[in-house]
Amino acid sequence: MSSVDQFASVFNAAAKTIFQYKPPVLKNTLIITDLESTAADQYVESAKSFFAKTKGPWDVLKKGDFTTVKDLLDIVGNKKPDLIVTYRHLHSEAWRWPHSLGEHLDVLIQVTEPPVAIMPHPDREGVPEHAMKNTANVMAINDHLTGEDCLVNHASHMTLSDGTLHLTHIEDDVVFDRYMEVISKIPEIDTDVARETIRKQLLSEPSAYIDSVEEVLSHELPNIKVIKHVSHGQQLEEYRKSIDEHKADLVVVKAHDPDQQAMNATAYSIAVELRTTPLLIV
Amino acid sequence: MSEATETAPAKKLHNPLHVTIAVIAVTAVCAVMLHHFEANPKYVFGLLLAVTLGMLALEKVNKAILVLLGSGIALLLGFSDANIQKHLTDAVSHGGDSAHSIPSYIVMIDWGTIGIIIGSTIFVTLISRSGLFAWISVKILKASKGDPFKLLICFSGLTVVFSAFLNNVTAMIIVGSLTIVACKKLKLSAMPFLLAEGIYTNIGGLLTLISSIPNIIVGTAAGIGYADFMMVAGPYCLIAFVATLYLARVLFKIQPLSSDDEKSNAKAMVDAFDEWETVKDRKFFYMSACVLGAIILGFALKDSIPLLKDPNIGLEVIALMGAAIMLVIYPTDVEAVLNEVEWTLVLFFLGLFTLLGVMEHAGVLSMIGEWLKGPLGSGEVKGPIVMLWSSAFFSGLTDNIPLAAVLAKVLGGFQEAYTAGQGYEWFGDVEQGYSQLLWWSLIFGAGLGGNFTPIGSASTVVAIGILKKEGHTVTFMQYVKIGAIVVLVQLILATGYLFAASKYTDLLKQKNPEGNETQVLPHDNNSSEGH
Repeated sequence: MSSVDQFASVFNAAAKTIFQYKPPVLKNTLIITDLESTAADQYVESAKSFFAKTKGPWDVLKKGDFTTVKDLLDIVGNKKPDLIVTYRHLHSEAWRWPHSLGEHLDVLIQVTEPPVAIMPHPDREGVPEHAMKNTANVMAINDHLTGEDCLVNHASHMTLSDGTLHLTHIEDDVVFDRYMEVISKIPEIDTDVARETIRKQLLSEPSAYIDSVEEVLSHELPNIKVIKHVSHGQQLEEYRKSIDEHKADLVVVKAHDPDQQAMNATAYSIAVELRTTPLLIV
Repeated sequence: MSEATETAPAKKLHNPLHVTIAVIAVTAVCAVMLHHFEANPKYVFGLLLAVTLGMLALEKVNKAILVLLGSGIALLLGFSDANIQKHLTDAVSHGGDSAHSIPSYIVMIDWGTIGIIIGSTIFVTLISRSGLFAWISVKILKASKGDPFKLLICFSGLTVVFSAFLNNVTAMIIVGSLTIVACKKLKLSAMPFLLAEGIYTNIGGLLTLISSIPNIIVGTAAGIGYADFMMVAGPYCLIAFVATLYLARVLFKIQPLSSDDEKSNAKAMVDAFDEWETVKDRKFFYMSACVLGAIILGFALKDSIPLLKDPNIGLEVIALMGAAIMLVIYPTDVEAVLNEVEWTLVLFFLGLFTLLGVMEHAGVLSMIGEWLKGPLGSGEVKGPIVMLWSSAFFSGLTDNIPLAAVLAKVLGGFQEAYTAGQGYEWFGDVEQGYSQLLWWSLIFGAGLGGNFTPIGSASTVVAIGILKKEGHTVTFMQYVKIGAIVVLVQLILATGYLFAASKYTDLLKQKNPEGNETQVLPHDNNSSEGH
């Protein structure tokens, strides 16, 4: 134990990332629908009931209020909502083909600042029994959960006061195996030791972070139960499995990637594929 | 100091052919001068010493290889000269019958210093593995609450304490690594903190007898005990700590946080460090803390503990016992731990002590003593000032260990000559504290001079190496602009402190075991007395 690197590793491991509780202010909510009259009202009511923790005021955009993406962005820019609630493929029939989000939502998520809740399409069948009732079971998922205070704060804010907050971190086996393959070709590094210690360290950091979330929320939101899901595997498959297994009412993901114009790859995959579970994109 | 190589720029390997030619040439020239031209041996051996020390200063060849070659040539030439051979043979005559006689080069070596280096490296390595030093470091970091100025105070204090009880390089590595990690978290530049820590290792390196190699060499040669050493060096270290803190704050423009928001954010950042994450085995951690405490107490209270009181038991016995106890309680990886002993340093000392032993018998050290008698004996004010400032200057330019070893031998020679009634009354005037003033001037000069240049001390080299790794380059002149101011202030303070301590206190007067002031006993580096 003599080199700078060895001691720096010890201190880096000691430098835990602690969760800081800072609940988001979500008052003005904008519900965007391409429905009309009664159908629109029904949808608005179900959205209001689902996001019962958001007290409003509520604002609603219906079919005739916008057509193009520009119209929508202008209205959102003027209204400055704290939360947007909508669904995929506005003003489009493409919702029948589950391969994209639709042009309005694609741009809206990336351009606007407030979080966007993506609800199942009103015409879509196969929505599970438990879905769209309340936010008793909220799941925040990320492939690097450590330090994602904003994500966890939104998720905990959305969870009913006596609900359950699931925090899920999945280490991608594909990436891990790729690096291990490279390591196995470097004689100076013991592959078995590297596999074991790197995997252990990769999982220990989000685990410690979730422990700190649990500790902080036990003071701030004492009736919320925090459940940790930290493992490795094929990311999307594991996320889907975890969401189904724990009957998540709302899944919270982070979409903005400061290094690119496009949405974060994992968040996009989830947003496209999980069409029957409400999502909150922050 | 093997750690320094990990962060210092990679050195070029020496050219074996060039070294072989140089060794043959030096040996041939010296042999021809000695035997063909019958030159005075002290000049021939003096030339050999100058070449060896010059090559050491150039740092082109590993220092252990260099002094081993130098000492080998010196021994060969010494045994080829009838007069020197007689001295070398005399040195072994006390070894009993020829079958059990000890080779002269074994007797020349200060085994106390070697024992302290081996023992302390082993126990420091093992205590390090317990996570104790990292645990203390994180605790101190948390005490700073993340405020930059408090961080400077805490890290500087930590550096001084670690340098005092570990070695400077290990102290720099531990505190330097934490500095990098903490500054990244706090979004601060690590440069001012690391440069300050490099400077503080040399202050901490003055605090105890075993804090640095020059302290061990000069302190043991002067017969200064562990507790007495701390009594003299401690107050100065405190003064220098405060003065350097003020300088660092001004030079690096480190300001405390002003707003409550900034303070609470910074506190949250450092509170997020978990000191227990650095400890893998709590049982071993607590046992290591106890052993470290016992070793420090053993060093400090050696003269009061009946078992350790015997003058034949030196500090090396405590260090080696501490190492043995740590090896017993940490039974795994014993061989890996033993490999971490600074063998380069051990071999360097084996060679250096042998080289200086031959030089002593060849009359070279007496010759240097004659040269230095003028400036060092030029008065009770001038002499110590010359010693303090010149040793600091040369320590800043090159390795302070050979400098301290040569000058300690020279001062030891003055002492012996005074005790034998061969003059040097000016040196032995213990009532005036003059000899002690010279010994302490050498200790302070050799210790503080390292701050002058970025290559003046191994710990500064490590600090700059860490900064380079993090993408900050500190040029030689950039460092000297800071180091020169710091050294100037520290030397002025040291000059004032030593004279004040000599004139107004009894600190610099040697005490005998009964506690009465007495004359300094003659000290022979080759005996175990005085360690």
